[in-house]
Amino acid sequence: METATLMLENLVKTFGRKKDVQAVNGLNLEIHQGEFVTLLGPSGCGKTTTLRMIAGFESPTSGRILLEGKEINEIPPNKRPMAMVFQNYALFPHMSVFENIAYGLKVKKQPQDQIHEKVEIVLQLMNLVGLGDRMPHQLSGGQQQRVALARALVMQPKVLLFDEPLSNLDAKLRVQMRAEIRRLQQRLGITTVYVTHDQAEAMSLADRIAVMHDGQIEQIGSPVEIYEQPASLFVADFIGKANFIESMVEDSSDDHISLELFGNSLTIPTGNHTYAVNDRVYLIIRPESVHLSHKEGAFSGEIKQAVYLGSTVEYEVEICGQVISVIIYDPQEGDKFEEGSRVSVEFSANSFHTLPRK
Amino acid sequence: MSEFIALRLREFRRLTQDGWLSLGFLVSILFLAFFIIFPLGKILSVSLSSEAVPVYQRLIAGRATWQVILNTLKMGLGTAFAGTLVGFLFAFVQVKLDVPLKKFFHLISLLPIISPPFAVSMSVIVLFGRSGLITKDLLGLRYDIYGLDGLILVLTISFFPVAYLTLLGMMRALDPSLEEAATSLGAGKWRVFRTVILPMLVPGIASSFLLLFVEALADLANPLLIGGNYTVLASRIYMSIIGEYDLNAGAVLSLILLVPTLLIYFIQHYWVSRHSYVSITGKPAGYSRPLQSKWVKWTLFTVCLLIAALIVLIYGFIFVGAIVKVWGINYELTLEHFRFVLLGYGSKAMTDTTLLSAIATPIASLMGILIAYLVVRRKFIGRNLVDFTSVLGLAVPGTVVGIGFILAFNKPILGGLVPKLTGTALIIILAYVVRSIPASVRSGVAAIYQFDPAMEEASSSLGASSATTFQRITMPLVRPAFLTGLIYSFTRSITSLSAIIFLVTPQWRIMTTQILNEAETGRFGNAAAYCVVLIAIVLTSIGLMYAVVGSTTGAERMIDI
Amino acid sequence: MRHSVITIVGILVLSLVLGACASQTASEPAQPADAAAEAQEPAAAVEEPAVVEEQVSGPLTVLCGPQEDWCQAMTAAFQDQTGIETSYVRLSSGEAVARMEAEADAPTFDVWWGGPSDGQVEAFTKGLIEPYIPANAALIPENLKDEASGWTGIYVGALGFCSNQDVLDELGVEAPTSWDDLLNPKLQGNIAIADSRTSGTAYTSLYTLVLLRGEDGAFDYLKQLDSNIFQYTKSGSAPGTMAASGEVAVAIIFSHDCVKFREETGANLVVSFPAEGTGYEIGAEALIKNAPNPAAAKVWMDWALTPEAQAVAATVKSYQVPTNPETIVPAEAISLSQVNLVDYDSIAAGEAKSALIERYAEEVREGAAAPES
Repeated sequence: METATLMLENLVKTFGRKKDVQAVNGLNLEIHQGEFVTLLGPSGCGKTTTLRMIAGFESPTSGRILLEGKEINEIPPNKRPMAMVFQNYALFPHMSVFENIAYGLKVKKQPQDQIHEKVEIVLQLMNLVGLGDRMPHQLSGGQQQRVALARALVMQPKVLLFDEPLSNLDAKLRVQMRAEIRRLQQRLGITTVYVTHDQAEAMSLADRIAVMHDGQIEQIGSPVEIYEQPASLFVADFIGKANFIESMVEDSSDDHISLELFGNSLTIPTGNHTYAVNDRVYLIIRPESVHLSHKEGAFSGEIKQAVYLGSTVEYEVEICGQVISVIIYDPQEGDKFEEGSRVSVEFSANSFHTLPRK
Repeated sequence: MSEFIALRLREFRRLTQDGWLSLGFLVSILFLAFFIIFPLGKILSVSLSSEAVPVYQRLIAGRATWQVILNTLKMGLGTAFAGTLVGFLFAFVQVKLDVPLKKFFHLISLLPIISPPFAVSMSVIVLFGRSGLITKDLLGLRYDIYGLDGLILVLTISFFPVAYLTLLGMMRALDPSLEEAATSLGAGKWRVFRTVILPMLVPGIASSFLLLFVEALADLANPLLIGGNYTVLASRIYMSIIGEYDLNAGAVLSLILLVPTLLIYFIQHYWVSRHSYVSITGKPAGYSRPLQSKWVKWTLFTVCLLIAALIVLIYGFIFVGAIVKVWGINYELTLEHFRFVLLGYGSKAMTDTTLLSAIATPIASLMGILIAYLVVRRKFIGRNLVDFTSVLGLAVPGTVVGIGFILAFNKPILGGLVPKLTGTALIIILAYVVRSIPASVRSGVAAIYQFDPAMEEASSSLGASSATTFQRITMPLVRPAFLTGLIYSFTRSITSLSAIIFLVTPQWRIMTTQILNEAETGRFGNAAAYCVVLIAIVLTSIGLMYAVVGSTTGAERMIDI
Repeated sequence: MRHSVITIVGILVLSLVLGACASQTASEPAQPADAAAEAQEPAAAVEEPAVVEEQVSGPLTVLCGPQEDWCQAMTAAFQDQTGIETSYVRLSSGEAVARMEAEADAPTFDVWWGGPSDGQVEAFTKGLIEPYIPANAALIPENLKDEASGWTGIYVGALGFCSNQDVLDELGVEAPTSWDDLLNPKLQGNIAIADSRTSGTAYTSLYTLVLLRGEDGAFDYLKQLDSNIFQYTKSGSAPGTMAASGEVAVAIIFSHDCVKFREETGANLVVSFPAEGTGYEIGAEALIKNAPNPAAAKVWMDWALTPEAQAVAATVKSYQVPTNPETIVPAEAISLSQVNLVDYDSIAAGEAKSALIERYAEEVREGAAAPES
């Protein structure tokens, strides 16, 4: 078995005078050596609090944080072999780029020549050569971000922590930095915990994504697992878009179940859940897995709204009183439909996914 | 419950992990406990002890007591009203009018802040008294300036800057788009002012009013000099201590003064400031269009100009007083008074006061920043108490601080661990520090709130201990606030009278009490020369502190309040 | 200057509690008056301080009763002459007794110098005085000292009315020549007097009135007078400055203070005396009980009786009549023989002081704190 570098056990954090605000509520997570894990969730889901507990800025109300098997709950942040990159970079405004990066090494009282050497290396690594004498306010947003990263990397931490580091950058720069961070992490092999609310960022960066909701992990898995087999409605809805169609089990066998769909019957693989007859379920299908055509088909619907976005067209289609979202990528002539026109809707059985409905 | 204790223990352990910083915290907290809580507790215990019963009986029986309380209230309300009005006018002219001399008005309104007590009173007596240069010689009036009217005049001039600065900050922070929105909805200028601007400023106006009321109640110098037979609580306390040396009566009267002062101060501090619609630190979102109406504009400008001229006259006249033979009687030029203050017998007061203030200043500023840091950045039980206590030093009238100090430190305490402090220079320094800390804390708190805690976390995450972080990150970032604290502490110390008047010793001469002696015995020339020298020392020191502390990081910006 | 300040900062923290400051280097006394120079009789008294000087050292703290400038000149002269580091605090009589009483266990002061002897007597009755007869006290006339209560006179002065002639003219009033003149309604709000609770001067006037009118009569008078009083000051001589500046027409002060103000300011001040009789003060000195530095205090007390020390007064325009017959009397001094003096017994005055002041506070002052309108 692989040694788990970082482990969170039943982590709980409450705030407020009466300890009535549960920020993190019994969280368990195991992060392996060299792994890149993102904590993904909407604001208020407890992801930042979890990260801050790992870093040592908050102390857990209960539960344990283990680094290489040793509990570190009471170790102050400056004694933990971790480095954090902050949302607003938190560059020291009164120090030059060089001094910012050298800060941690100086604190550790490393010899001057070593400091110089190490800083030069990260300056090169981060494409910051020649900027050492600049002050932070003289840098662009992207450069500031790179300095912040360099400052963390130069410490050669065992764990690298990111708190939404790209949220202040414009869209293009964000994509570029995303790639850069992933490249560096893979090259250096540092265990990394990365907090974000941006699912695209999470999917492009992480080995595994932990989707958080109400202080707990709803689902953890690779980006593909999370996307294709969401474990809950929340995950399905949060990661990409999804249509939820209420349905009922008509028949169930070992590997297949039959369900009602807009008056028709549909048979799909069982998946992760087992159902009895008459169980209520949600049928889940991604908008891009729905196809529209002018031909006659099993289902017929009416286009209620059409939004043309260039690379995609988004439709709202009403079938049997229920509205389904449909996205068509790279729309061709035949994929364009007028609002109010009738279309036939096609689903491929393999694209469906079910979750129990209470 | 045990979980609660475990949590507190953990908090405490965290606080002690900060190296020398922990020591700083400990010293600061002990300082607050020992030099603010303890003396006030002493006043409370003395004034509620059985020894104080006859005092109450005497006070309640004497008609004069109620008269004194009534006098005090009249003076406080009058000053609060007039001061807020003048402060509002100056702030309004500064922000909303496009008129010349605005910089001049601003500087004029800052002058009273750095001037010593008595200065205004003395000048006003000589200018507007019965035999005043203006009232008598110019207008042929025999106007009696002593009493309530004179008091309100000098207190208004002394304290309106408080209202001015509060309202100036608020008016600047008012979002001009609100005004634009109201105008675009069809409201006229006057209507906008009445229905939008004024209501937004109500918290500022209320806050100025209350602060001025408290300041007026606490003031000692002016009632002593220009009060005449109009006795107020502060001067009554002075009489009890200096004239009758009756500490019990002093303690009881202090309590009478303390209760309303504290009440109002904390209403202002906790309630009004919370009901504020604008944040003082916020940056203006646009450019406020100056008021267009010519008639309104020039009327307000003229009033402002007249008040400014009065202030210039009063302060200018102090300088005159310092260089003429007998102020108010004989205007022959002489350097005798300056010789007395700078080179003669009076020079010891100058050097002593400067020295003691210079010692108190860095202590107060450093402790202020430490306490601010503790209050803003640390979680521990009693944090609110520390915050509250640090403000006390400002809310409690100086006379009360002085009496508390006498009662608490006129004999050795803690089994002789702390020697008798009265009669030493140390107690004067301590009084200076107590009076200066609150302002340092407040400027520190504001500064620390302004920068992202992530900066300190980043430092910590890079391996720096709390102490290192404080030293390398926090201190440089709050340097402008530190400088403000230094300047304020020094100014406040060197011009402070009420807190130290009962503590002065024969060996250490303090300029402010010396001014009082000189003025009381009619030697206005020496008193005026002291005032001039004191202002010069303050200005020089501000320059020096800029040079030493505020060379970079935009400290200058902070001071240009 | 700045250099020395910076140097001091370093060591100061250690020496603060001691409250001591570096003693001045004894330079040749830039000595005051020509009058003093002439009075250099080789009396034993003059020699004495010079002899004791060897053993006695500072600091000496003087409780000083007269005006600031005289206190300053005296302490400076004493320090120059003896090398004993000396400081003073000026307190009015009432304040002095109150303060001494409050710190009876650990007095701040060593010697009380100046102010009407009533105060010293009162202090003695309260057990705050350590009787000490200066070695050269024999020179002082018998009626100007009291061995029993331990004080020795240093100057004498009569109470008088100090009027500003210009203001009087304006009001159409003659300079007052009797106590009743002061009740003239034209003088409403135009008289200043000190508060008897603090000021020895004012107490002298109170006791004088008691002698002239009996206790009840005196208080009736003071209550009547109250409507004419512009201001009650803390210090006894302060009303004089108000008369000088024209704030009031008449100040009830010691006549020598009036002369001092006239000399200093050039104001048109006139001195007059009540025909019925006026009180006078014997400015006294006494040793304080449990004084921290009694040895230096004694040196001061001996020195203060010498013609040389008494001549310092005139240099600061304080024209009291000196008690030592060998001291040259300044020409400006008011000759007491021309004034109708009451038979003022300062021992009795001092003993009655506490009770009278209490009544005064009750009937005259506490009732009088009403607004001036």
